[in-house]
Amino acid sequence: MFNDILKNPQALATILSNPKTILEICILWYGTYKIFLFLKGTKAVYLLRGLIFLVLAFSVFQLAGLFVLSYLLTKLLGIYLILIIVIFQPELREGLIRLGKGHLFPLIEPRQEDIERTLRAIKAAAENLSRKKHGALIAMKKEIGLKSYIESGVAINSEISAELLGSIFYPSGPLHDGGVIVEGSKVAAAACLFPLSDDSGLDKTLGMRHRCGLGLSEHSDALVIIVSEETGTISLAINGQLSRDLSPDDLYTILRGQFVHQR
Amino acid sequence: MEESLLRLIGRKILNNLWLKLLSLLVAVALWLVLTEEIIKSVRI
Repeated sequence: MFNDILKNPQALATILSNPKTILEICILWYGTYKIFLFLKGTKAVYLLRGLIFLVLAFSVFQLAGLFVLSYLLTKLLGIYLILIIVIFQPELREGLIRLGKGHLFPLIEPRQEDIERTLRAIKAAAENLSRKKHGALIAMKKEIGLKSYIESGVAINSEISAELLGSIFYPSGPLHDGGVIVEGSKVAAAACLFPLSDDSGLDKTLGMRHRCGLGLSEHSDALVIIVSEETGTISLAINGQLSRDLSPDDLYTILRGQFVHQR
Repeated sequence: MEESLLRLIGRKILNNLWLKLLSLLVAVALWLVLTEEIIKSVRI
């Protein structure tokens, strides 16, 4: 079929003129996109890159007529697929469980009231933490999964409240080091390890908490709120960009713009 | 109101655009491969 399309581009137009085909491709597209989004938050993404490399190498060998090498890669590809199933058995199981619970393909969007409640709790927590100069690092998940970071911390899985966030970041508490991850209206985990920012041109006065917040915002689409332990200032990292010295009201307005009506 | 709706739709489309395009490519390739396999099995 690939050859038919390459020889005759009109074949593609004929294929796409069938509404059933379009429907099938759209469903496949949605499923693939959701699976990619799920994988993006896990370590499986590195294995996927390896798989893409093998497929590309196979295509190049095929086109160049190097049949022995492409035969070897076909055999390797089979082994690789079995390896993926064995190594990522926990992720596959988690994916199937989420599919069953409807989390991978959510049919119901989070309620606006839940989003508003979460944002109000975060604003109040940021205000309190800033006043008391308690350092805090809070990541809010958007579309890309943060599973690998959640696994690095302590599972909480509790409804969000300003009091809960305040007690997590209490300086002598066992969970105050590391970041909190908020998923929807729940605090998923605390004391999570976030990656350091790759940006070498960062302000040298920025501490590790800010660098980790920026790092996570570079590696995912999460919004990361950082409260400085030294100055009590509130910062927000989005897509590797840091907005510093925000008031609690500014923070609320920006977060609202990002979450309300957007999910 | 209309402008914010347009901006909202635009942001929805642009969010993870490369991932959306990659998954479309994979979906089309998958559909073609599967269709070819089905045609082959029917011929046999």
